[in-house]
Amino acid sequence: MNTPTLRIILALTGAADEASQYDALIGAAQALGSQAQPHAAPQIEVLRLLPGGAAPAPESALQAVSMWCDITHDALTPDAPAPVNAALLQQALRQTEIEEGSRAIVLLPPGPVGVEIAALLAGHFSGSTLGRCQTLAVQDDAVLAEKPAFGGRAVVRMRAGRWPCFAALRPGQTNAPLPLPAPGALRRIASDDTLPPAWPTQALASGDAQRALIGARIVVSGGRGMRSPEGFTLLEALAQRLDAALGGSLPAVDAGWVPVARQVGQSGKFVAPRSYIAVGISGTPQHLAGVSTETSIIAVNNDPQAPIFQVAEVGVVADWQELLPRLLERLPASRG
Amino acid sequence: MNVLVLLAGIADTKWPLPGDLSAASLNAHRAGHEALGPFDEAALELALKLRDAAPDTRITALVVGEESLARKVAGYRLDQTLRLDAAGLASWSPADCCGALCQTLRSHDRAPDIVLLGREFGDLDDGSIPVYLAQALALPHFSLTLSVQSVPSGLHILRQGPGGPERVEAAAPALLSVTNDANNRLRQPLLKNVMASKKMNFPPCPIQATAPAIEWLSVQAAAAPTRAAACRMLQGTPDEQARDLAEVLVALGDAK
Repeated sequence: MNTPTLRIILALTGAADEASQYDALIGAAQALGSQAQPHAAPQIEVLRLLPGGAAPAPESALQAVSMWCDITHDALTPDAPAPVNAALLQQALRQTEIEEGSRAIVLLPPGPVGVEIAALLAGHFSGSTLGRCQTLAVQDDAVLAEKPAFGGRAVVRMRAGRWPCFAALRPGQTNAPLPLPAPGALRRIASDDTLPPAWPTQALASGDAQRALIGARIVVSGGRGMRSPEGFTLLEALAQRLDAALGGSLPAVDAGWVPVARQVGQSGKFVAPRSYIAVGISGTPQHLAGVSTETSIIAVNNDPQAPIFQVAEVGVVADWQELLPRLLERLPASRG
Repeated sequence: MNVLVLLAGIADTKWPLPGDLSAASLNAHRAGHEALGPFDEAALELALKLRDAAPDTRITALVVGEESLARKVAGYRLDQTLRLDAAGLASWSPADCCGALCQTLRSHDRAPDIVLLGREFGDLDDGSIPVYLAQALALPHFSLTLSVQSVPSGLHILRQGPGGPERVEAAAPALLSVTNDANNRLRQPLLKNVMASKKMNFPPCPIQATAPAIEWLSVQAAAAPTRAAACRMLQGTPDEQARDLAEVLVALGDAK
């Protein structure tokens, strides 16, 4: 009996910070498709939720997939909670004939929302969720995944045999997506399906006017070594001077020096800036899991043995209290 | 009000993992170096805050771990502390882990009004287990919870939403997966309660193990990211280091 063709579907929520990741996500999906079916061009389907105001799909992305479908709904907003996004994606997947047992891998964007949606969808379709993965492969009609564990200190290899399979894949070093000889058309579905009831929700002022982490070209990030909120005041000034985004490690968030929305790491955001300036960050695997391996790291730490220096391109062994004020005096005013 | 808090525990990060990694060595390491993770602590502190606000609140904890961890949790003078043996739980397979948790919860006689657990349940979960548990218990799930208040109309939940912090008005019962927040650090327990907990025993609740849907194949140490060139260290006095670093950063700003 012939094995049914494997379908690879990229499910996007239309969040503002996803657009900067389209190439990486499509490239990762193509790499998975090539591994799973090496004698055929990878056929990647995209289902994207399109809340009002979302940017159109970029041409480079459209050229690299076999289908791109934008899904609209009157009640869909940019800040829709994960259960609403999951309900719409579930309905869209069923419309594309995905059901319990379908031989398909559905990829969600990396991050807590992607993990939550993957678990919701796996539950609905009685499939498998592999959650946050570093790598995925198909072997003997099952999906193999490598996942970080134990605070990013270990990597566990797992096998899921129940289809369909859902995963939030963090693209590593991938090639740029390749255009297909015959890319698919752009479709649009206007959904009028019933959504889960919405609880009354009030957005609160965060007091955080800093540049967003995702998509930033430069990120300035602080860790436990900052020792105080005053240190982060200096980091904010440095970030403004460089037109950069501000981030922090898990200990810095726990200490209240930076909000959880700016946490970088395995349990926080995954960032892929051109440069990552790490001040007072030792360089644990848990933290580095949130920084792309293609990012240049500049590290400032008063411990010459800090692991961060093993992965940084530029390093300074110094106390930030002595270095940062001098650095700010020398940097030109922000162009922003 | 009945509050149920589920705590997974983690391998204390102060201790390096064993050199020869396997499922067995990791279980042994975890048993010997167990701690509450930051998300566990946040969930427990929220439960305690709910009791602070309404002293007749009943808190039950289900601890996945060794007896020592259960005693540590019981040191917060909870109404009941149950324990599951971590070695018997396939916590890498969310559906199976959730099934085992539900086996224990079904034998619990009080339906919870609020279920609290960390946004990641232990060293092998990434946020999938709270979702599965909410589906199994047929409860609405509120992820990335920062704080919660019980009010006459239900619950006021402060959470990290997609666009920033948001306040949600929800009805109980509900399941909240809790994230770390500076305003929610776990308090120190009272010494008298810690001493009382040392005399307590926590035999593990029985669970019927099944073959997990997701199979554990192997484990290895995480590889450090590889870099093409050695790190260029900026030497000299702080003034010289600042000068050289400024040149590097200015070059970054010019290179668009």
